[in-house]
Amino acid sequence: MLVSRNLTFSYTPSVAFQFPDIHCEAGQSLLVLGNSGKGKTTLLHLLAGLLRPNTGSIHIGEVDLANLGEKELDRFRGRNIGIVFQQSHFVDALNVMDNLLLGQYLAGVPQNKSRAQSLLAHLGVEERTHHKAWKLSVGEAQRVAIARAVMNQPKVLLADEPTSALDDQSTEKVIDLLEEQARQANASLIIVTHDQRLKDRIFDQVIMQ
Amino acid sequence: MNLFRISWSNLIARPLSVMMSLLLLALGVSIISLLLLVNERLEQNFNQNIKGIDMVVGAKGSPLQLILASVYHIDNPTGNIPLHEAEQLAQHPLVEKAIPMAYGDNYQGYRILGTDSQYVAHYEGNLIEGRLWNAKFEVVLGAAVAKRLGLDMGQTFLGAHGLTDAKNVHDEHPYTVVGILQANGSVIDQLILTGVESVWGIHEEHEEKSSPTPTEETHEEEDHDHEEHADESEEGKEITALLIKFRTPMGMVMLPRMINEETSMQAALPAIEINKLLYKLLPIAINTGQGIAIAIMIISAISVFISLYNNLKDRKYELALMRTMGASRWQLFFIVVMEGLLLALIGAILGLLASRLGLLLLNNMVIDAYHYDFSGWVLLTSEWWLALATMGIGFLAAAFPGIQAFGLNISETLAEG
Repeated sequence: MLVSRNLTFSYTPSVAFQFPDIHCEAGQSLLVLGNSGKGKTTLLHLLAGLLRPNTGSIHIGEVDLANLGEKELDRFRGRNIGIVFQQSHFVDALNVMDNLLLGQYLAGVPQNKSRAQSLLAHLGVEERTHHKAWKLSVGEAQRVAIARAVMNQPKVLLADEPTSALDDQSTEKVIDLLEEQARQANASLIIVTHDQRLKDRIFDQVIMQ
Repeated sequence: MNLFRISWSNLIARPLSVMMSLLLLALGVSIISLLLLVNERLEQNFNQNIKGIDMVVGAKGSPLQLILASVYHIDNPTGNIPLHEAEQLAQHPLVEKAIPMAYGDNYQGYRILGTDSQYVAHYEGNLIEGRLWNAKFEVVLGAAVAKRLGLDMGQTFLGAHGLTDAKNVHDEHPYTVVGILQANGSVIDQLILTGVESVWGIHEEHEEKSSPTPTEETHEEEDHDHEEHADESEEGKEITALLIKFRTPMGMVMLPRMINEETSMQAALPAIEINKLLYKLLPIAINTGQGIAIAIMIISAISVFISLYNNLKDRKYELALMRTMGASRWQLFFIVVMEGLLLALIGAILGLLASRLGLLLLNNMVIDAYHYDFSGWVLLTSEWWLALATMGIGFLAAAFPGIQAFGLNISETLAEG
């Protein structure tokens, strides 16, 4: 469960963002819609603990992110928050399997090869297990990115514009996968996007003005 | 999966730039290490062979040359000294031991040294086969000579006049091998030993041919009884040098001055001459080499820095990504610094291996030219320090990129894509 209240953030005094409150139960899917320049990515970074808000609070489960120190926050993020970025990046020097295990290692949880294997199989990219990450196609990369985000059974799954570059058919598939994986991990799925096509898929919505 | 593996994977993902850094590092390390090794070997060889020799007496000339020739057998002697003067000196009360040395011939570049059994005893030579010489033209071979020339007991060979020349062969008097010494790492390994009489014998023959004086041999035996004839009969008798050990430290004070001022001979003190060589002349050469090597090390440090720094710019996003996956700032710092340390470690190992290879090559060269043995695989204490210093360089070169990784703004980096 993720709950945020009265979040504000400013990069410079002249550019200040005020964000709508967000409430997303475990297993629930939430769409945060807004046009470019409304601070969608900023909000996502705040929710992921990558930025600290000027005011307001974020709770994930029982934990108030504001109460965590820098290192604790890193650790908490690794264990409880999965992020799917608009463009899928990996550690290029490592292969697909190692990229998945990396998430477990960095989060300090036991490395589980069979979980990685079954996730890759489930997402239909198991034959890429031992390929270098930079050799993946865009579609494959996104699937592996989703697998990476859910490796640690996070409490919150955040997705930043996951469908903006995809055609209708692929968009359907990606949202299916995200919802399915979030459900299996019993995570709160929050998708931040300007993609109006998703309106008809996910009915819990927050609009950014 | 662990930090080490991440760093390692990052290194092997860009083999060319890594290879460049490694080459430079290894080059610097190998040059320094080679200089250290050669220095160490020289010192060891020089000091080992100097042991127990307080003074060398030979013909006037360069004292260093005298020492190099008579103790290390790597230079030409300064000349010869009259036997009677040498014998007088040997009787001096301050002299405990006086070992005569007479050069004359060589066999395939190995010096044939006329001396007595004291010489073998002084260098702690042990016979593994046969016995010492007890007649003219009998020789005992040093271990290296026996091995390199493939000579065996009972075999004979002809010496050539001089110390290196092989043209002027004394074909009248073949030498016979009667003993072979065990290798002990001293100069004795590289010599062919015989009695002083053999060296005289060969050259008497020459004199007899040119101006026959048949009385010479009989006079030799009686020279103590007929003092007035001694000079005359021993006029042709010369030796090259005397190795002297003093009975008391007083010898050091008295004898060199006496010899240099009152006789036609020269006294040289090995300890002083070798100190001059090792601590005044050699360091100039070694420091120059070290200067070059340090310059190479600095360049290699810069190359490691540039390689890591450039790579960091390309990998900023990856590092930010690792933060989103739970990595701490310190872990990113370690990943980058570990790359520098790994480069330095591999560079140091390659460099130390290369210097051993270099020493091996040098050894083969030096054995042929000087009959000196440099081989050995021990890691010197100074080389441990060298490896440690290389790691330090790797750390320093990686520290700045590491700090940048530490202070990386994740949100900004991710937003930039």
